[in-house]
Amino acid sequence: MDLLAALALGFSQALQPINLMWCLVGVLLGTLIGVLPGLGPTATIAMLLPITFGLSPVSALIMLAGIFYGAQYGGSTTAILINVPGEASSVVTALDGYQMARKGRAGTALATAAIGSFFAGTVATVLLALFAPPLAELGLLFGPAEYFSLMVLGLVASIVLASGSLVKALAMVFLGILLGLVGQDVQTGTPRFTFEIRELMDGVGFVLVAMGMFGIGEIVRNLETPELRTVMVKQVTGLIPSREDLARMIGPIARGTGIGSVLGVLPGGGAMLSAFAAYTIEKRTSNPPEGFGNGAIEGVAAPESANNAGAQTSFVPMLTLGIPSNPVMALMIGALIIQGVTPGPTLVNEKPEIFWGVIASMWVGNLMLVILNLPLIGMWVRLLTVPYAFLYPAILVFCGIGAYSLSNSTFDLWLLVLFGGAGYLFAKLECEPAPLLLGLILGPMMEENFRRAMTLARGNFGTFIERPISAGLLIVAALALVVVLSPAMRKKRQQVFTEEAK
Amino acid sequence: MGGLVRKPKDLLSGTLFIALGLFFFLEAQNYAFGNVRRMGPGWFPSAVSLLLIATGTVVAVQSFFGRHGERLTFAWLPLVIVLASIAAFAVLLRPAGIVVATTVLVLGSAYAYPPVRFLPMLATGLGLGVFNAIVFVRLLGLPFPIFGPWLGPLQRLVGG
Repeated sequence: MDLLAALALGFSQALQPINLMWCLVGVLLGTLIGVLPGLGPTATIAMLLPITFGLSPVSALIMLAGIFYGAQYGGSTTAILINVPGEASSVVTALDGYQMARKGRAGTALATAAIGSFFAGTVATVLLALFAPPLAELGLLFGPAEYFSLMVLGLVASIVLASGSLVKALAMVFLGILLGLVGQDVQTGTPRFTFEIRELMDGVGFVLVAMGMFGIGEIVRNLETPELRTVMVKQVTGLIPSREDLARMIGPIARGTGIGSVLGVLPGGGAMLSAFAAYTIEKRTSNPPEGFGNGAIEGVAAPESANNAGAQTSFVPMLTLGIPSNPVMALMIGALIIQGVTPGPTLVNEKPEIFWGVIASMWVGNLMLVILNLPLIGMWVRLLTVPYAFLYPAILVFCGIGAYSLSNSTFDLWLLVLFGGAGYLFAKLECEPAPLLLGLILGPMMEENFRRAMTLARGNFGTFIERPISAGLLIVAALALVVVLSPAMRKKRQQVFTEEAK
Repeated sequence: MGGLVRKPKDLLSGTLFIALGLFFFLEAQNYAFGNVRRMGPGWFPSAVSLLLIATGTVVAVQSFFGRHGERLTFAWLPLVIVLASIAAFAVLLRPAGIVVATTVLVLGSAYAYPPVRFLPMLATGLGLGVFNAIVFVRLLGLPFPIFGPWLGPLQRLVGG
């Protein structure tokens, strides 16, 4: 199937009224949670997953994807207006965006973010369409050894990008893998770590873990240190950027899009890293760099384009290899599996309508975001004034309903309590939940592929380095670890993450 | 400050990792181990739990070196209140129905963030409960009652 025919198929799916509607619901919900504090896309998608059971696989994925990139968008709105990044990926947008708002240029900043995001979204959609199918073909050559090594690479990447201690992140990965092994062993049917609890036979649902750790744990943390938010800008005007502004943003948008598209594909990469890298590069290359931090339009354009591009290209490994590059993608895989669709190299040929439909919907969704959100900004600003005291009980309710409806069992609610407590504990101990969640999802797949690879190789551990693709993946993983552990990089990394935490 | 332990958070997380690793390792010994050609259900979990114990040990040992870290404090009260409210929701959902369960969860969890304005919170809870009843039960058909058997008359009134 050539590209145009494929895209035509995609748009024929994405433009169906029912899918348009779910796309709209997704981007609106996404923007909403991006604007609201203390609720990220991971927790929201986990919460809303049960609702998608009744939808067709295409609609379900379109809506969930909409939540994901809508959240990036909403996050940058709060970053600009109140200096509180709604999402991790908008942290750097706040640096210059908020300064612009203080100078009365909030409208221009928001418009820049919107234009940058839309441009990046368009380019990333095209890139996705161009590069995903060949990658899927490469994926068809993968045997168990290659899959195992690929997952090792994914987990290593999640450790490298975790913001705290590397060893702790590694321990969280191992713990996640072990949690993932709870339930019936696929090959022998032996129940493992179930302690005769019937509900555990199918394993610990990663949705519950995500909801508990990212949702509940986060809420308790917010309650501990309530954040003061003051809306500086009551009225947003000047949404149309001047010609001079447009000229200044073209370069950063193009560079940001490029950086984001590349970094997004990396396992463990995605939006946050992209935004940060793009901002740093703009700051380094700009002449003079003093404008940065004082409301430079480049400082909004670059990271906003990069995080949107990164968010979209992070779908590549998920759609083509069935490997999640971040927790949100892991939830998407979960949503597909529940629908009876297994993401992987065969998806593009066996279910082209899903593959291309989702890709096309991203472009449609980005267009919706631009058209809808500029006029809706007033509404989002008003939402920012909803006190947290009313917000978090409502979030808890939706978590509760979401958890219960996963398998209509009260047991899942008890697990939610357990993982909520665990999430808070780990947050206090500065152990990041994302590596654990990735381990939890990849754990069973890793074990299966490891066992199969070892059986095929007649017990020879060397198989992982004798097969060229597998060896290549392991070398990249090893290099990533070496680089990040080298003293120079460690210092740099610390600097980067402290700067981000500000 | 002072003392032997430089980073209490790391000591606690290291110990926790070791304990969990031991737990999984010991339990995994109940499953057939197999050999490298045909691994049993016990092989992989045993290997991973040993890795967890090893990394946990590194974390714990590191806590005695380097710069002093922050002390560890817990916000027990908000944590317990939030978790207890979810537990109450779990207990109430089927016997009492979504309206009551929602109201209790909203009102209960509100006490994690005082001062609580009782009437507005109660109204929020009830409003959200009715919203859930309409959207999740009536429109989306999720299988929990609007009013449960504990509230027989109301249950008959709304028809389930």
